[in-house]
Amino acid sequence: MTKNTLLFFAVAALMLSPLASFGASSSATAASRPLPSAIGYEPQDEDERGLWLQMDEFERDLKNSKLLIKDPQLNTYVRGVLCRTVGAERCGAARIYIMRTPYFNASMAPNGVMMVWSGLLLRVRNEAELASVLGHEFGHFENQHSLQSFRDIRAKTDAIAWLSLVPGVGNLARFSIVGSLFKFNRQMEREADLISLDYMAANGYDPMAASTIWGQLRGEMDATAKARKQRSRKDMNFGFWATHPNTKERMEYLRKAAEKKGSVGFTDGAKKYRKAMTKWWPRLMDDQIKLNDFGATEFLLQQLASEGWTSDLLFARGELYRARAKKDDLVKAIGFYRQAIAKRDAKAEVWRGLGLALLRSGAKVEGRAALRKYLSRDPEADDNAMIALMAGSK
Amino acid sequence: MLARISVFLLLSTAAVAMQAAAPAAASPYIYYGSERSATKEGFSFPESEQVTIVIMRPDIFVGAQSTGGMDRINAEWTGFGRDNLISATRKYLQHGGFQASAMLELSGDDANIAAEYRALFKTVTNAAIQNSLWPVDGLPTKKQGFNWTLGPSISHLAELGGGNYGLFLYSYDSYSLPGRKALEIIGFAKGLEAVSQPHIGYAGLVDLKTGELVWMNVNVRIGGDVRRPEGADDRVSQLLNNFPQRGVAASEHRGK
Repeated sequence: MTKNTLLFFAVAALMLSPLASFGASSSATAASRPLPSAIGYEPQDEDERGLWLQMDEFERDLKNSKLLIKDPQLNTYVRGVLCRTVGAERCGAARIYIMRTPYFNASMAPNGVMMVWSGLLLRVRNEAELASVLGHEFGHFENQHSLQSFRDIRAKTDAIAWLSLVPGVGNLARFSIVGSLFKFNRQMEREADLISLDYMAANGYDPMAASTIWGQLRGEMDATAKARKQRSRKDMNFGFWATHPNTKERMEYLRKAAEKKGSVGFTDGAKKYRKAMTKWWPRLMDDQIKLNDFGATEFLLQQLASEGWTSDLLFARGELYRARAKKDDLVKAIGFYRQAIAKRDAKAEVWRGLGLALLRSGAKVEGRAALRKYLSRDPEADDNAMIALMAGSK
Repeated sequence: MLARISVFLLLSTAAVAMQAAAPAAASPYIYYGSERSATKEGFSFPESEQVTIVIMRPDIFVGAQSTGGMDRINAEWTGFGRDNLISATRKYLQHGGFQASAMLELSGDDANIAAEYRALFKTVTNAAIQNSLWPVDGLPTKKQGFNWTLGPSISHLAELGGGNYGLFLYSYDSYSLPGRKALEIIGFAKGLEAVSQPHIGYAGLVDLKTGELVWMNVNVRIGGDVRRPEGADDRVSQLLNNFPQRGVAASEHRGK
């Protein structure tokens, strides 16, 4: 990733109300005020107009971002899930931007910009899980959490500034104010979580999905840690400094709240979700493999393969093992590529992977033959010249 | 650069707030001299042809600072500020014998290209500031002369904007709210340093044929209130201080 890309993400991730805070990472409801989701809503005062202007400027750049996934089918699908979740009359206020970012998160800004990271699409297993995240973000938006947060921070930093002039008040008072900033943020996260549950239950999505998603993420964190021989971050608790409730807490209060909604008449839309993602999963998996997070990637592959190993999934697994290339990894990778080829619908890249894995394990003749097969199956490939060099002449 | 709502703010606020003393973090700009400019050696506007300068959409923030030092952008001020800055710049340039036009609102691929160049301009000028204008520990090859470019592919912007030079403008103002002012006064009386009211501006002129950055000026304590037309005139005259004149070749010019 270039510096600019990183900067872009830093800004994007930090200025909005993100869903989660792994490394990165938002009460009161005023009933009489118009909701930001209402048609023709305009910001109501100077604070809100300022936030909107800033986000409008951000959106100008966002529209020109190279990371934007413009695929109309995918965009229509994600918008459809949001509209079903929060209702067709309200979803129009959101402008969805799907970003090619291989991590789990989404965010929403006060002016209606909703960013959905592609890593989220790789991790949720069905429409209901996606709906729970989109509903959470929409809950921040409708309840103007960014604005509340802005005002809360301003009021409290003003107090801190004055306190710093008063002798004897010192660190303890400042410390307690800072703590209340974080607490306020956690309260808003919890509120958005529960709002999402209401949206889901009202519109037929299984509300339990909001809890299971955190279970999956915890599983993934365990897998990452195991492969790296580290302690799992799943129960990391920033306590006083936490911007979000921790994953275990979220999983549990969401489960309890979902149980109260009953279980009749809900769908999870798993089949529709799989169908909508067919084209994108291989690309998103490729992004994931490049994160060099073996444990999490293997975990996600297993999760996606719960309905059976397709040639795309086998190919991805081959790529993952070939990239790590420890002890038996190349042997395993070759096995996965061959299983993919046996599926009959394997794409050309499988032969490239097979050829490279064979070459690397010393099987020169066989490896070159596989690379030539790749070239003959996809003569227009971008890496044609480089692979041709490795394949040599017959 | 701008104050961002959010977790970033939350965390950085926490960090600043927990520091024991000063009412606000001091801006690094205070340690610099307040203005520097540079012109590419030997640069002069072509005599034979008409010179049209395209004013790119100014990057502008006009806001206010709360007691605790938090910036809030003011939508109204910023809107007026941008309009005022464009018209004052156009007036200034026309007075100097140039044709001047504002870059149109673009869409689609054209907007993508313009956005890329705006980002590139920022990157290159930041490097120029660090390595040529205030070369504290700058790149050895950039210590002499003023030699920066955005590359010749920028000529596409010339087609879009209908001019042969592009003028990029940056303007940042944050006015103290009453509480902040009171804190500054009391803090000053108690001997604490509260640096407030940042007013920063920079401008750069790019040859849209070659991509060369032919002139730039940076002022970190700039005057003129962009919220009003007459204030914007004042701002632009400071922002375009040392702007190359027609018929005058730039000699070695770099510095204050």
